[in-house]
Amino acid sequence: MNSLFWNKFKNIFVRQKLNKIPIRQYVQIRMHAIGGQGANSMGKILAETCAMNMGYTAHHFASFGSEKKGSPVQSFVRFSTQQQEIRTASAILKPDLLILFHPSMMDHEIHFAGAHDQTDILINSQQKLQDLHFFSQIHARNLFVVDAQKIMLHTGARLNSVMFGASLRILPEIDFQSALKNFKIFFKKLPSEILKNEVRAIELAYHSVQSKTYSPSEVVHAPETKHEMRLGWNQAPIGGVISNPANTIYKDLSSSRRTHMPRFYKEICFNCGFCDATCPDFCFVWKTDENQKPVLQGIDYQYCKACQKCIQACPVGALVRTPENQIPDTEKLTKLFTLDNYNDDRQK
Amino acid sequence: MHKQTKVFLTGNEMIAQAAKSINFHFMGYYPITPSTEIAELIDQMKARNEVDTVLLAADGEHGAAGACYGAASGGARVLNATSANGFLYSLEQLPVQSGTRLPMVLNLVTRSVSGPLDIRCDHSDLMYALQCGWIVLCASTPQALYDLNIIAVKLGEHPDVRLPVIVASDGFFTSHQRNTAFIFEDTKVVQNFIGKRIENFSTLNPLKPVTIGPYMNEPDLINNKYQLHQAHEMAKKVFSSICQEYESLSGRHYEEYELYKMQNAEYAFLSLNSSAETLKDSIDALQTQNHKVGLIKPVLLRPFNFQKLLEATKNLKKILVAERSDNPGSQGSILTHEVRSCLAHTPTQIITRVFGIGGKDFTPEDGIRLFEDLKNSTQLFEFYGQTKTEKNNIPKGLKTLTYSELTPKLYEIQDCSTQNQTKSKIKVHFYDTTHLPLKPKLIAPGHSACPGCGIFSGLDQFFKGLQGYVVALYHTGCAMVVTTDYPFSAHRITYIHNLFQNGAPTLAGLVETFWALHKRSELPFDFKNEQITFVMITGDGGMDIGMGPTIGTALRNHHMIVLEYDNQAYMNTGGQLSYTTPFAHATSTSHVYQKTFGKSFHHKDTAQIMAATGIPYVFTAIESFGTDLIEKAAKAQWYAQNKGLVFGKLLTACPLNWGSEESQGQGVLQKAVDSCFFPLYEVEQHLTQISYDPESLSKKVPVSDWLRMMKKSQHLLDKKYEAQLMEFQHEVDRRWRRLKLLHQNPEL
Repeated sequence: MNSLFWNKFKNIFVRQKLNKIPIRQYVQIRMHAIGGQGANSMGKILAETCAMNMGYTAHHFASFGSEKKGSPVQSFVRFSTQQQEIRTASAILKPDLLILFHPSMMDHEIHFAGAHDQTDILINSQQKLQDLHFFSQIHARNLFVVDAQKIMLHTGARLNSVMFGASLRILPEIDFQSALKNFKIFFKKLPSEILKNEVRAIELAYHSVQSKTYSPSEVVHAPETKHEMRLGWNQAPIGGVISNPANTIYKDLSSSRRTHMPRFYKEICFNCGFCDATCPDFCFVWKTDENQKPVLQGIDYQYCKACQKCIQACPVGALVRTPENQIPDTEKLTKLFTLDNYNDDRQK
Repeated sequence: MHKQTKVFLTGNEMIAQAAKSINFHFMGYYPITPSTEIAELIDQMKARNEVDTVLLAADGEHGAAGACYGAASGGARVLNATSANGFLYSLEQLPVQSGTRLPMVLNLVTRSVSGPLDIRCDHSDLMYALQCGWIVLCASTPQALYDLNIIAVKLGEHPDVRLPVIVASDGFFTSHQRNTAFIFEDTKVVQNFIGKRIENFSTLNPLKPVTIGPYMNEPDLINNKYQLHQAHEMAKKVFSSICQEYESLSGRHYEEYELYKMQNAEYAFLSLNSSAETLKDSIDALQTQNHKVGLIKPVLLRPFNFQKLLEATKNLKKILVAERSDNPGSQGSILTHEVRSCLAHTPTQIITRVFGIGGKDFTPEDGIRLFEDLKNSTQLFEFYGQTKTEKNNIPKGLKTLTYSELTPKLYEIQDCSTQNQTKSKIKVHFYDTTHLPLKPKLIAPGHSACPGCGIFSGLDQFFKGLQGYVVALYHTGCAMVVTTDYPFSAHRITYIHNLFQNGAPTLAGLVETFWALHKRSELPFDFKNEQITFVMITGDGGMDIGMGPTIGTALRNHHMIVLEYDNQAYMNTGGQLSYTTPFAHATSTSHVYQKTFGKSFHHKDTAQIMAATGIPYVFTAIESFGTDLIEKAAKAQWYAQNKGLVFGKLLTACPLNWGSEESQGQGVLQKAVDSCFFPLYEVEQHLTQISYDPESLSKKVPVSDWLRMMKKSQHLLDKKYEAQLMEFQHEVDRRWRRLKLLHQNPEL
């Protein structure tokens, strides 16, 4: 495939010859994303292309909770090129293709569950393939990386368009043009200018995916593994009573953000507290001075979902909309909590 | 066979496709996950002029079932769809309908019955359905949902049957799973198949008056129930013949039990719906290892065909009933007991395994593991899939707030009621408003609300005005779901959840118990007359379904606060219209299309309804309007402490379903206030006082200034919807003028 648009970007993005993937009889795809990133639509379009255009059997579903933006979502696609009837409606435990929509997902063991020696993994990351950090050894066949941030900045498109385009390159069973056609039908209500940008993102992603054969020996260990926190019946409190409340402080909501965040300029702030009053996520960190007056210290970005209400509320411009990667780590504060038994690693 | 179109749709979408070809006269519904989508889809079809079904958004499932009953008595073809607690809330209506023999179709999209609240699939709701006298059909795939919904109409209306029918499918597994299926190209095929509804009687024929639902004691009721029994016996035969007829149209075969690889089976699973489909994969794998195992999947669950089950199991050594629900204390749910009684006099062994509760996944591998039990275990009953943990790795939360931390000196309350010089009888004087950020928040960060959610900034400012201990009851809704994702809780104070028709009585019971225990010196802590405030937090949905109980609680005037966060629709279930949704706004059940303009009736004035109960204090407020909300919270606390029940209403932004900018939450609310759509006022001891009058400050704006900020209402600025815009503006102005009169005249 060769397009004019891609030619323009040849210098910014590199097209690499990818590891070859054989045509399979039965493929199971599992996507991990955040509600609002479009993993559900992407799964639907992929599966619909298989079922309606490729003559395969296919099904799709997503793991839904209540209708919230920002909570973890899994999207599943199964298809069979051999007309095998797809009957099970259970989650995909052993994916052939695993797609991670956000780089932070690499820190969580749970996202790699069931990956096996024939699993291809597609990751949205700004890092180069050789610099990828996993929490520990995983199982995989090939690793693929697409720099969604960069593509989104160049096109203004949404994340799922990028992931969709990248995945089409590594799914040889699915015809690119049919998939693109279905994508356009699915988003037909979008204004044509926006749709054009989405299609550009699909093309850029398609061409710029990078690949490498997975080799366990090369993997650098990330500092920590995040285990799932659950209680079995032998330890769960009777009636589901939570007797250690306010433990949501342990949660990291940073993956709810898109590209920009509020940045705090302490020298401009006069401690009016309007930001604190408007913040739905209780991110502002305060301290008292010698006169017992509250003084704003900054923002705890662990909870900030970057709604930017505070930027609107600030009367003096002490909070400024800033790309996330331009905020230095030193400005990323933690709340000064008083805890019963705070075993959060952040305190170390 | 008739021509059919290949589609790739979910279970809920296939129900809607069936409903489209049936073209029901009437659908009564109330939003609940995962079945609400059906009403949304039919509303969308209606907006596109594809069906002419009347949709009635009821005030709860009980009301929805009532509306359906009324419509069915008039001879309409009627549809309803619900799940879990919604189904249970409508339960008392169901035997009424079967006992008076009025057919309709109800899609039960199965989900675990609360509590604790779980929105995923199991069959605990379905088990309640089995005693209602309704026919129950089980659909395990999106295709089966389409077919059985069509069959249900014909079966229920058959003159030998005349019964309402439930079509049960698995929530999420089937309702939200997309799969290949076929629908009739021409809806006439379906219309001809179901035929015209024939009625012997109707409540809508004044020329032939009838009495429906008489007072019937012994010795007559037993005869009515005998007829019901006969109708169920007949339904077995009728079902078979209708399925045969349907097969000739569609090529798809249905019977009471679907038997999978049962020819030479010595062992079998018996399971309902989606897990039965999964078990087929397990069985294929097991048969390649020469295991003689098959599957029995009931399709017609009511009436339960004992004879056919006996035939199907006659060569079996052993059967495993895999149940997605338990009947605690009974070693198996109803299904188990029916299989046991059916096979009581046969040598076939029966064991039961309860699995997949609350939507826990069930894979083909699980089926293979269960086969080990089927072959080797003699244990009659056991759970499968419950988990044990080695160590408790759930982090502890923040330290409990002490009374002095909860009671910083922020303001002083002055009781002016004796001075009689001001309308405001209670005055709040702040010491220093810049100290407000130091008051600890009663909700910890880390909750999972959407970015820019207005609920939490609103609640936080309300809580800032409360001093001392607080006990909060949250209705089901966004604020509840995103703060108590087990085993996590964001609440720093005591929190209790109850279903959202019943919060106010629950909290009233708690308040009265507090004082009763105090009287007997039996409180669980050393109470020294510190301030303690009981607050119920509800969404606007909870003030629809829970309006009656809340009014009852208000009339009894308990010492407590009811605080409504109004985001103008059922946001937790996907933005369906609530009664506070403004006129002509678009929601997922009030679509805007060529001939439709959005919600068809005006928003409910909950504050005025509550004021009419005569409670001592009512207020409306928004976040970030100076210290207005904090003052009102302080007053609310004073009134709850000293006089009785308080009702407060916050308008809170929902960027997701309003289609407004996340960062603009405050701005949108400000316009709602400045346009006088949402006036800020209090009703204090029966006297109305407007807190902020944009008109007198020359800040009043037309409603269009507010409407243009939200995608759900932007269409009203189009010339095409001028009439609706004018009607809305007119209503807003009318209410505003009335409020001003209330403000001016102490007698009103």
